[in-house]
Amino acid sequence: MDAVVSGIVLAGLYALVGQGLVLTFVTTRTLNFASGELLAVGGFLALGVGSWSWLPTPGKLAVVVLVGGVLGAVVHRWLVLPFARGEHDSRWLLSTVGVSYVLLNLFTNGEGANPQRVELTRNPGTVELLGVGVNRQSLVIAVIAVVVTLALVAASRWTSGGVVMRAVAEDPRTVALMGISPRLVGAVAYAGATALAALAGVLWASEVGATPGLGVHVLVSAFAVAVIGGLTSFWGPLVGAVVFGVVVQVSAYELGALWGQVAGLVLVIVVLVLRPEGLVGRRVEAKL
Amino acid sequence: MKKFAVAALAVASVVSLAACGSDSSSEREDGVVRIGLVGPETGAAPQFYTDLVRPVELAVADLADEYGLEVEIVTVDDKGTPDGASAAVQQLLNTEDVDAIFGPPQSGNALQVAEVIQRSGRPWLSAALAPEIMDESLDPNWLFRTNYNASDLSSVVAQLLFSGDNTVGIVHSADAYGQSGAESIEAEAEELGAEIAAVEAIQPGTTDFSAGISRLAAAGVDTVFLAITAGADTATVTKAIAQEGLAPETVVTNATILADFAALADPEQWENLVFIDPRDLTGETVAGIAADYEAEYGEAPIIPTNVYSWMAAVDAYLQAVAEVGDARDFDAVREAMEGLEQVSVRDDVYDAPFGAGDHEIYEPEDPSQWIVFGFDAEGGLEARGDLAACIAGGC
Repeated sequence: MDAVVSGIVLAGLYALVGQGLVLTFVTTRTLNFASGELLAVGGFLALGVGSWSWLPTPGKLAVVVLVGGVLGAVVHRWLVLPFARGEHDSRWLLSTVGVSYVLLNLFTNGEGANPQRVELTRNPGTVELLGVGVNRQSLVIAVIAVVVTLALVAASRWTSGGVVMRAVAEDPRTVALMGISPRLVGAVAYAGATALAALAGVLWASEVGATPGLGVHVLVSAFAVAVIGGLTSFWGPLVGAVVFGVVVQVSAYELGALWGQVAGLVLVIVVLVLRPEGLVGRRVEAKL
Repeated sequence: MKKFAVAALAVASVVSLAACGSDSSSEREDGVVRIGLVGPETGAAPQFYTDLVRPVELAVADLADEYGLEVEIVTVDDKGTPDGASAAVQQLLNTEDVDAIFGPPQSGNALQVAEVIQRSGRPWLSAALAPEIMDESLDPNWLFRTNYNASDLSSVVAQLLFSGDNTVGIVHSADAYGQSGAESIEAEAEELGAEIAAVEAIQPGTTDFSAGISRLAAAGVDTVFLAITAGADTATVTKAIAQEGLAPETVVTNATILADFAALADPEQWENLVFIDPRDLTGETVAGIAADYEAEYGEAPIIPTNVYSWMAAVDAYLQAVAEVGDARDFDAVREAMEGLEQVSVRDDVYDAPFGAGDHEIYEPEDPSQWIVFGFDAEGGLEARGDLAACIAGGC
């Protein structure tokens, strides 16, 4: 029971970042490999705005998320669009990997690689959940991940923006003929995805400190949960994260801490072999 | 004929370049002492680089004039990896043509380059803890260690861990430093006829370690030894200890905890946490170094123990060079280091630190020579007493 509960709580962080990957994939069929470093951007922005005593915490959080969103739109305009000019153009993969290295080096040179304490959304201590002690900050992140997932599912089904998003994913040319700009939809998706990464960055940096490498480990797990759950469904990251988190924690409890992560990545391979579209995703053609 | 001449010229060029690389020691005669520093400027643990370069800069600024030397410091990034360390040391030896090498500070990387540096025949000063890098049977042995080694520390730590009926568990980093530390304690346990109840490893940067702590709790562990490279990972482990309600009587770790831990952790995470060191880290010498360091760099030392060790290394090396009068006479400098009467770190003096068969500045001594440190309520360092007193009456 301990392993299951802690696995579910742990899943929140990966689901939150994984949602950003799904958001860009369903609209543009591209993935942002700089998401980990953009998560670190959130952590460092939190350090910066943390000293603004005139602004309440929700305002500071909004600034970080907003700046993250703008950065996402910039990444889309300058680093994805020029390198995704057709279904056989995969240069965006290299450009987003490139920007991740650029950001990593910029942060390391500018801020140093040692962790810096972030107080902005810090929730220290432990709470009891179903008789199991869980980290309070991780629980907050898990709750936010569920809320974000429900909001994205609802928006994609019942709002005109969601319909447009799905339409762009299905047939961008026809959508463009109807006067809707797939580029704009893509920019909005990237802005939303990076805002989520920045939000995750603030929340996670408040737990472990802001470092240039803050998102490196998180991104690997976020990709894993997005693949397990499915890159074409907003339920995917949450479902994938819960399965991944529980498998990791149960394996770690039963076999030893080091085996947990190994088991999670083995699970990714198993899913790719048996159900490549993910547990709740659907099969689409995409050239990555 | 023309082709032959071109080929001959090319071969001659290659041979002459190779000659430059293999025997460049005699070519630089500018009288400047060139010290090469190698450490992880980038990578997972850059604090080891920062607290290699800064203390060497401070000590050189203090001592160069005193010894009448002009000193140049050359730094190279080993990227925190064995491959990076190999490339960095080759650069220091072949391109930079340094007179002595300080570092790499991390054990795994130091092990990787040990043979190359020993073969180069230049003084090598190290603060890495792995006992394996020191082979005192080598003649000549170019390595001088100005920190304690993990084996000595382990024998001291084991006295605390296995005093009484403690059930001991180990958590170590899944890297060379962590594995070496864990193996040393396991060897000590075997020697003492004691048992380790559980051993768990943590990947650097891991997000949650509750499963590992749960396994320690299931094994009945009441005393934990942490051999962890980064303070941030130690914070992850101690957070999991609090989360899982393990409540060990003592958590013993090492001085690497001084990097980042207190800044990231909360008071409940350091209540029973101690580490052992032969230096008085709460004394006036360390406080004075910290004040100068902060004045120069705008922040406190990250790993005060390494700062101290590298300052000792600078004093030992520059004294020897001053005595010989020529940093390029590597053999003479090495012999002078073996014969030093004392090495100083400001007001702290170590008499006869090295000898012909002894290149370790610290020796395993009686428990009263080692100090047990913990943290106060604000996260500040406090001395809890010497090890003998702690074993007898608790800390």
